[in-house]
Amino acid sequence: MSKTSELIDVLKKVQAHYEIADGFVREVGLFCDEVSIPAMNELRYAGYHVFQAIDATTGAVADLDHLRKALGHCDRAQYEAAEAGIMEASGIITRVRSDHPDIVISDVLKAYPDFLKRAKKAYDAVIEGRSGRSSVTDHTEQYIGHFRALKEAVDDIDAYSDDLRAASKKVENDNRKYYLQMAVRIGVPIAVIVLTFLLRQIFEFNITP
Amino acid sequence: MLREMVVRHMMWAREARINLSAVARNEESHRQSTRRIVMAKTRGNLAIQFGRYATRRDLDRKFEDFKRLNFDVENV
Repeated sequence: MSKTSELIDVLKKVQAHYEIADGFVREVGLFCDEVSIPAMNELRYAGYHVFQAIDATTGAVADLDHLRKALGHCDRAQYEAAEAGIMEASGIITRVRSDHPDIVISDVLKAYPDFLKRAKKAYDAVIEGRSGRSSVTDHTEQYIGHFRALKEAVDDIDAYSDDLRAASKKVENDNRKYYLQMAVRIGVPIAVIVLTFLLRQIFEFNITP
Repeated sequence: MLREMVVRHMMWAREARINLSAVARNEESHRQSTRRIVMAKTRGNLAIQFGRYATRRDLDRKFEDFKRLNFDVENV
């Protein structure tokens, strides 16, 4: 393969990968704005390397190394966006439990245990990806799949948030009612005993001067 | 005559009931979608307020929190 055709080949790859990465970074950005910032930076670096690859005097793409670096940054952008998206979504899914500690969440949102299982799968993949020595591109597709599955779960959680809040509120009110009833059940007999004792004291005092 | 009036009235009432339930369904669906948008926005705004994920280092810090998440499905 001649150098020119190789340059064109890599440039086409950069264009295609940039397009895909940009679309996915936007998707993650729509899910949560700032999650995608490191990935956007990767795309910025990709742009920088493409400019470096262009020979300003002739206007032709001349530097293959810079093009390859740009390609690497495009792939890295997808990876970063997917990983950050997984972390954010997993955090939201697990937070539901701490936000509603008094209720059984699956009573309101039946799929919640499944959401946790999905998040655990994604968690395992991210931990493996961070600890392993495999390349970024090996994990990206898998991460994107995990992110989209978790995003759906978060959308469902959002849709049920009012119901979850209502269930928590109901349990809170029931608990309050229970404690009030207990207070009445214990307090009233005590009050009656005290009152009887007092009345007896008064009565005894009245009849025995 | 009276019978005709009663039948017409009943039909009108039925139609009105159907229309009302359709309106209620539309309103509910609209309310759900609005709520979803508002919630997504709120989450974003909160995150921006706390300045999360601004750099790669923040992402690494987030990874440390991520490692401590609990995915236990018991009693959920």
